[in-house]
Amino acid sequence: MADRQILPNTINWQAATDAELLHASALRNQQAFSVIVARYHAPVYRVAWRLNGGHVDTDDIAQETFLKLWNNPAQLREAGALKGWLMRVASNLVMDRYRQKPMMELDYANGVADPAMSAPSLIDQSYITKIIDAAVASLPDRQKLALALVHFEHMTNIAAAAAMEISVDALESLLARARRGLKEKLGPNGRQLLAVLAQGN
Amino acid sequence: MSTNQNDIELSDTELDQLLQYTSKPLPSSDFESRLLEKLSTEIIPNNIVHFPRLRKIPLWLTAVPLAASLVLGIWLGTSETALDYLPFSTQSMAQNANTDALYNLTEDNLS
Repeated sequence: MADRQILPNTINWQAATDAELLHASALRNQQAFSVIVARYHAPVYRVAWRLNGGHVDTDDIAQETFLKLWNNPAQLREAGALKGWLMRVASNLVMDRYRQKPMMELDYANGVADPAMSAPSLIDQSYITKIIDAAVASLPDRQKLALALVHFEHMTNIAAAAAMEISVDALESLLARARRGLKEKLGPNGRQLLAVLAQGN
Repeated sequence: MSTNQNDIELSDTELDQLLQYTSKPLPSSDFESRLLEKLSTEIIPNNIVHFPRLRKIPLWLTAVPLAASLVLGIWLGTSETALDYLPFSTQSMAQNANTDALYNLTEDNLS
């Protein structure tokens, strides 16, 4: 209780490190916590979105992730791993939620398109985007998460492996399988998609 | 067969090119404000069990008997009254032990 009074109100939280922000958040400092949210809510949202195929619940999942941190910041032992920890919590929340609910809900997600769509109907880039999104969405959860962390969030293999609590070798294996899976799913249409995109440019 | 498969299957570079066209989802603009609003109404789960605190014993209460026993030990050790305080059977044993020690000491000196 006394610690709360020690924190001055004039601290520039924007320049503070994750460790400082976490410490202040543990003392229920909302200003410090809002900086953590500002720093990481976009990547957390993107990973959750990627994992649940763009379901409308994504916002709720991202919010729940931050609420877990707010309610018990002590469960994060190393401040340097904050981003990875948030990603892990978000991905666990997605997997838990969709394990309970029927996966059919994913079909309504933002009108995700069928990856086996024929090439002539590929008119614009947004449609191509939907096809690629759908191919990614159809991968198994662990492969999707590995791909999201490394390819889309540009995390290093070491950081992504730590976030997923697996070895780097296991992560690389997941990534290789994800890429192989995507190649198979996109199949011959993949080249046609590239050709259409090249024409558009 | 392998040539045919190469024709069909995308290369790593081609796959990377395609992956650049995936969606770039953005959270809603009021994400932060809604979350911070929730924080103020959020009730922190009270899952901490507090053990009752042991009554703290003052330091001097432990130090006084210790100091007293130290002083008593020194006094008994330096004065020759120690034997008076020992029970009778122990007294004779202590005396014998002293005599033996004296005898051994004399023997050593003689040799």
